Amino acid sequence: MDINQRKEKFGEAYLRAVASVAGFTLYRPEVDDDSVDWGIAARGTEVLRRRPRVELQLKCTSADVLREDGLHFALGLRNYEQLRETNLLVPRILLVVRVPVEPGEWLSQSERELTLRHCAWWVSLRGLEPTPNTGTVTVVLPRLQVLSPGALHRMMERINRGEAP
Amino acid sequence: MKPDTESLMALRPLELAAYLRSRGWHEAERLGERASIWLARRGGEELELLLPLDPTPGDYMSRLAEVVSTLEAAEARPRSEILDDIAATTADTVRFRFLGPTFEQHSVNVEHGVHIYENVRELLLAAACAAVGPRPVFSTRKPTRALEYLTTVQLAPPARGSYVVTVRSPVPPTLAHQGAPLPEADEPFERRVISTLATSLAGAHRAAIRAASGATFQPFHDEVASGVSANLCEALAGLVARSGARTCEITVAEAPSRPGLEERHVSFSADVAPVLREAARVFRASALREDFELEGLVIRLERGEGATTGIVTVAGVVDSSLRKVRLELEANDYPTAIEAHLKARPVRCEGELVREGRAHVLRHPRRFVLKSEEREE
Repeated sequence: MDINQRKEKFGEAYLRAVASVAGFTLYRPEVDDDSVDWGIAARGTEVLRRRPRVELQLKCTSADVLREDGLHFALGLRNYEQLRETNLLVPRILLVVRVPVEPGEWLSQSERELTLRHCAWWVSLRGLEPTPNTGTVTVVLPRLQVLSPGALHRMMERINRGEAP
Repeated sequence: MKPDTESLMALRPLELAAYLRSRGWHEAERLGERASIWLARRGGEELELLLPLDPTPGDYMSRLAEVVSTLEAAEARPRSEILDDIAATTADTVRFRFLGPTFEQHSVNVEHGVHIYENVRELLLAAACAAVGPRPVFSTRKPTRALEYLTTVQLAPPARGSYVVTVRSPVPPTLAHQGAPLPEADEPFERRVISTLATSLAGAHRAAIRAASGATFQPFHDEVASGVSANLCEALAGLVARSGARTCEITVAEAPSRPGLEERHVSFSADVAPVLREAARVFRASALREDFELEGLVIRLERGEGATTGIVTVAGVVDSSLRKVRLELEANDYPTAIEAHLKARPVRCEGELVREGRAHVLRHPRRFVLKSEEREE
C-alpha cells in the first residue's frame, strides 16, 4: 500500500474510533461526490439514517502545518467550492487527521492503552467567500475544534437544533 | 448497487412522494420547502427517509440516491423494479401481454412490432374519442382533445419476460377534499380515457362472444355506449391477428396516486379477430359517418326543371371499394358538378355519409370542389 493510501486508511480508523465511542454510525455516500467521503448519523443502521447527520471530507496529513491558531491545511479548489456550499440538506465539514511522518509512529500500544497519533481537527467552511486562487486554498482548522467523542456529540446536538455544525 | 445519475435525474420528488404514500410511508415533518421526513414501519422497525423536494441543494442527488437505496433495502427488491413502479405511481397503466409461439424468444420481429405499436395507438385513440363522446365510428377527423391526449401517453421501457408493452397514462393525483367523491364525469379527461378503455374492452369482449354464438351484430351495437366502436374493434383485431400472437392479454390498472379505477383484465384470443373485424365493417357500413371526405367522379346529374337543387351521383371510394354516392347540391355548387362531369375531372366533398338501403348518401355536402390539377399527378 502506498503512503497516501495508508494515510487515508489511518484517517478512517481514527474517525471510526471517535464515532464508535460517541455511539454514532458511519456511512458512505450513495453517489460519488468528491467532497464527501463519509457521513456520520446519530443512530441507526446503513438503511436507517437517523437525524441528525453530518457529512465530511476526510484528509490526513503528515506535513508540518500546526500553528498557534490551528491547523493550516491546503485544500484543493474543487473541495473548497463544494464545502463552502450553503444550500445543503445535510451539513458538511472538513476533517483533517494529522499524523507523524513515519508510519511506525502513528500508533503505539501497550496492555494498558492504544495511542493514535496525533490528532484530528474539524472546520465548517459553509458560506466562506469564493477565492481567486487557482490551485489550493489554505484553510485554518481552529485548535479548539478537535474531533473528540464529546465534540462530535455537541456538534450533532447543534445540527439537530438546525444550527451550523 | 449505486444508482446511476441518469435514473436519479429522471425521478421527480412529487412522484416519489406519491409512491411513498402508496407504500405506507407518511410524511412526519416538513423541512420548509426543501425537504420532508418520511417514516414507515417495517416489522418492528421504524424507517426514516429524507425526501428532497427542491432540486437546488448541492446534495440533492445524494439525497435522492439515499431514498432509492433505502427503498431497495426496505422492499427487498431490485432497484429497477422500484424505479419502474415510482414512474408508474402517477400514471394509469395499460399492459399488453402477447402470448404465442412467435413470442417465446421474448422478442418480436419488426413487422409484428410495427403492427403492435400501431394498434396500441389506435386502441388508445379509440378510447380517447369515446371518452369525448361514444360513437359507432370515429371518422378520420378525430377530436383535438383525443389527439392531444395521445401526446401525453408514454411507453414504459420493455420489461424482461414475455413480450409486454406497457403504456403509462399520466393522471393528476387525487387531492383529498371535503364531501362526497367526485362523480365520474368530473374525473380528469386522462382518467376518463382509461376507464372508457377498460369498459370498452370488456364490452368488446362480451359482444364478440355473444355475436359469435348468436351470429348477429346486435351485441356490438348494444355496447356502443360503453365505448365500443369500429375503430376499437379494428385495433383489437389488429393486436391479436397482425401481431402474430395467439392471445393478447390487456390489463388496465389505476395510478396508485389516484384510486377509483378497478383493475380490469381482458384477454383476446386470435380466433375473435375475424368477429371483431366483421363488427368493424358492419359499424362502418351502417353508421352515419361525420366529416366523411368523398373523392370521385361525377357519373350522374339530375335536376328537375326550375329546381334549385340537383342530385349528383359520384363514384368514389368508400371503405376501400368503389361505391356510388348520391348527394344533393345547392344551386351554387351544381354548376361545379356539371363542369366536373364535362371535363371528366374528379371532385372532392365533405359531408355525413350514411347508408340508405343499398345506396350511400352524403348528407349536408360542403366544400364541393373540383379536385386540384396538381394533386392529380
